[in-house]
Amino acid sequence: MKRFLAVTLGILTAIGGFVDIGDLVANSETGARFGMRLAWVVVVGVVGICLYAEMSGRVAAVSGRPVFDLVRERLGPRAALANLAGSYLVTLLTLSAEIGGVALAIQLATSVHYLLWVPIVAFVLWVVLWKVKFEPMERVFGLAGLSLVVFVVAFIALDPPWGQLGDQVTSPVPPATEDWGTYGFFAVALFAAAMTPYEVFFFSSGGVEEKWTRRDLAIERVNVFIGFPLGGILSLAIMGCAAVVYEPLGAQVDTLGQTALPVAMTLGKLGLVVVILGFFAATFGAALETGLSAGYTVAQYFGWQWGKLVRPRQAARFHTVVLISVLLGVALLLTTADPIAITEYSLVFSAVALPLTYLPILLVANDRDYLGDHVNSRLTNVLGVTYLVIILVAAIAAIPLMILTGTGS
Amino acid sequence: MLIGLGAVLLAVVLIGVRPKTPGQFRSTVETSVQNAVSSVGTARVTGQTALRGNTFGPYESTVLEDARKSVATAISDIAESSVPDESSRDLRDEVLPLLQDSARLLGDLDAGLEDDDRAAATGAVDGLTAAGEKLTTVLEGLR
Repeated sequence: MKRFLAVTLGILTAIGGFVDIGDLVANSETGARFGMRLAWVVVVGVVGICLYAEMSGRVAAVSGRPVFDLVRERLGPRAALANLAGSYLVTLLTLSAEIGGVALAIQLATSVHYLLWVPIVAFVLWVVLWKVKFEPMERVFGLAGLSLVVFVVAFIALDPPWGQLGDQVTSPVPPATEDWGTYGFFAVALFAAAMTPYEVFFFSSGGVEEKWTRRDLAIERVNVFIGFPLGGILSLAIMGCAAVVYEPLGAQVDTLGQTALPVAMTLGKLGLVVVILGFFAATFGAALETGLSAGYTVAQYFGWQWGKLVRPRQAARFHTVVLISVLLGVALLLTTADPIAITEYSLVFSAVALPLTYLPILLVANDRDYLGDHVNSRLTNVLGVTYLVIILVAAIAAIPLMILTGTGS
Repeated sequence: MLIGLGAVLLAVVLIGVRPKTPGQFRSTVETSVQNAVSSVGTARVTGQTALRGNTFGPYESTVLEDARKSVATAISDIAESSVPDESSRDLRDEVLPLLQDSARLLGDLDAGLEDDDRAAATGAVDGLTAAGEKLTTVLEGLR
């Protein structure tokens, strides 16, 4: 019974934790502008994150050490430093976007300007990161994030034109109002939203925090292979809602309020309350994950004591990095930079940093010194290398597409 | 080295201050009208949803404030652009009144919903429907 509960909770947490501000923004924008013509990217992204999250979880469970720790040992300090720099900067940008997302969600419920909420959100975030234990923190926000299931209900209640949406899914070309440049830009952004680097750092470090062993491999795989795909369904529902409501209007989506509107249209005030709660939980949960990931990457590279298993005093440098990262994220927002624009840029730079994150994981997951018989199978390696090629293409294309399309505008 | 850097900076400044070509002006107008179509459409649907009692005050005012800001930016982007030729002037004169009308209607809708004045809010929603159609026609002509 206890094991069943652990699996169920793990799956639910993975579903709720999959969607963050990047997914909310990218899926909604894409649905409004391209209908379901980019739905295939979500599927490709979900398969990719499942593949690499399983690898990093397996590394953590078998070796008892997180991926970043092994990357430095396996690739040497120089290569790992490049990995650290790229991953940390992207995680920092994502952290800032998530804090902005929490503030925007609160603004929807209060109409008080989001900038006034940013310092308060950051303080509460820091208190939770400092005080709350790892497992309850992960479970509470992961489960509360499940309220975004309301998008699935709203999508069905919108009575969508299934045939038309089906045609869009099976014809992956831009509509008449868009060109291949913007189509490519949003494809890269969606892919990066699904495969954001912090997710694997958090997943593997979280595995160590939860003291996974080889016996937990089955639970880890069930969480990944059921939780993330179901999270992907949430992403598709968000895209579908925007496609049904905004595409016929010719309207583009660039605010969180617009993302919530299809839910209010179909499910009324109660639905609106639930979706705003979902925004809050998803972005706050992701802010916790990115805040911790920022600390994990730096502390693991320098070999410092890290994590929430030990008292903050014993991991002072780890907590200092977390605090400084939160402050830097807040500073960026207080320049009045638009959180949605920060999210868009974080997705582009995530795409650029993807190879730095995923290549080392593939290398470590093939190292018998760490994993013994649990190294990647041939099929996993074929898929892993195929995905590395996709990741490389996305990384090379991201910046040129951003410049050519004016960030997709 | 310094001369090269100076030349690059001068080129950047000259590119920044040179007058817009008709094509660039048209592109600015297209972006502004697209943003207005999005804001007006969103506000109209929000208004209809609010009139059915499916939203609450803080949400409505946040969404409508975002829409108002977006239309205000669209107006200032066009108004602040130098007009390169006669056809661009005609385009500006066609688009600006539509945008200003949209901004007024967005304000009316927000006020109507805030004061619980259903007639005013319904009138603003109807006005936004018509304004949205006109803006969409202009946008299609610009593409």
